[in-house]
Amino acid sequence: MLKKLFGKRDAAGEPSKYTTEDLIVLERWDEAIAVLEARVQSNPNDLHAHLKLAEVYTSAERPQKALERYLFVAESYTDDGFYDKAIALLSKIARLAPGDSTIAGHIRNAQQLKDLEHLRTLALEGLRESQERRRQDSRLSLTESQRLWQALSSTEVVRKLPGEQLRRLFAHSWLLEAETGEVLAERDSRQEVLYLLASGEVEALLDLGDGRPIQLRSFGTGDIFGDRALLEHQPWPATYRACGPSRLFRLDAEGLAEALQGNPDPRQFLDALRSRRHDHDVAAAVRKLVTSSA
Amino acid sequence: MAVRPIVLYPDPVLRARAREVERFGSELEALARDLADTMYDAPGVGLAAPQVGVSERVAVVDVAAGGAASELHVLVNPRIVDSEGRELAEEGCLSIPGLSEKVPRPRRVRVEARRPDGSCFELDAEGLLARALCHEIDHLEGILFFERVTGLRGELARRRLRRLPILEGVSA
Repeated sequence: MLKKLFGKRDAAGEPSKYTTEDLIVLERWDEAIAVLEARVQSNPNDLHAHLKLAEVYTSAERPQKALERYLFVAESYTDDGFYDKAIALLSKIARLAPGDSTIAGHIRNAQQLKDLEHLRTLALEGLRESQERRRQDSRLSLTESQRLWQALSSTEVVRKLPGEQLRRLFAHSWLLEAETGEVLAERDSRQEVLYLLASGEVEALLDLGDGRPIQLRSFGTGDIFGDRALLEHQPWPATYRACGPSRLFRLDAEGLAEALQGNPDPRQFLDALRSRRHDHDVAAAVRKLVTSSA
Repeated sequence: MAVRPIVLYPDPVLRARAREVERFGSELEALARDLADTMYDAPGVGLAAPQVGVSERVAVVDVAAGGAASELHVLVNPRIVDSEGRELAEEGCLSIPGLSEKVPRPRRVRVEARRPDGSCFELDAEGLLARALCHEIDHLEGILFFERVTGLRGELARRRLRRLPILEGVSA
């Protein structure tokens, strides 16, 4: 009776008449794999097909093939910024292949990117707050904000500061642009400000009176200077000047006080600002040069 | 009376999108009568033409089938034009005997369709009638009710489906 009913598609030569869903229900794994492989070949971005294929490979007890497909999907999720989905999928794969140590690396990578995305969100929020607070005339476009973040995302200050602290730093700083040759701080001045260089280059100079200033060091993206002046109330050890068009975040005493108000961990905030102690290095170089020239 | 054999899962005709009906008249009326006879004989509360091997957009529904106040709806080229709410209730299918699952469906639907003579009508339905209409219109799209069950319950439904006697000799 059943043979009669199914007679017309009983032949093995007509498997393609079944949908993939039905081939899976029927546990005709090889045929389902053939259909799904063809589908991912013709549309490599069809993540649903990749996932389905991974499931079929798992059911067909071909774990290595399943793993490849799952990893492809997880990496696609990561590339597209769907970190939680990637981590959930990778955790599932880890259970399927407990001996594969590379999966833990993929999970760490996705987690790091997720954390960085969280930082980015808070940093951009801080930037927006800063612009609103200062009523700056030239507001940063979203693209410019993203570009600033791109430049700063791999720097030490971003690595050291948790998201909320980073938001506070940007929210209470003033973004300014410096032209080539513009002096940001004069030697021995008592201007209590700190700078975070977002782009461009700044140099610390010492003029011993012969009209030929000596470059003590230069600063690049992510460098902080002025921590000695702002946090220790010391005079600037040298003259700081922009070597080219530069963008800097400027934190003054008022901004610092605001950033520390209600801060859950003020020590962490301050330690990150003075971690590299560039100004102390500059001050030491100045002392050495002044002593030797005397 | 002409009771036709009901096509069983996984016959590919159940998975094809049925063709729009373009010719109305006596042949279509005969098909509708056969569908109704087959549905009442089964018995069931709905039947779509693909379930008797005819890939055309025709279905019959009578949720009071067998009762005194039975009301047969014959729907040609039906489409849901509005829906509201959501409810979960048990469903089965004459093409998949032995399987029943709780399926989410709209609580109310409005369907536009034609009669076998080609005239148009609208049908407002709720509850079981709305569910039966959705089920049959799904058939015309090649969609089977267990596919509407997702997640873990969907996976369990597929496992139950695999064990059904109708799949003997078809499964790998």
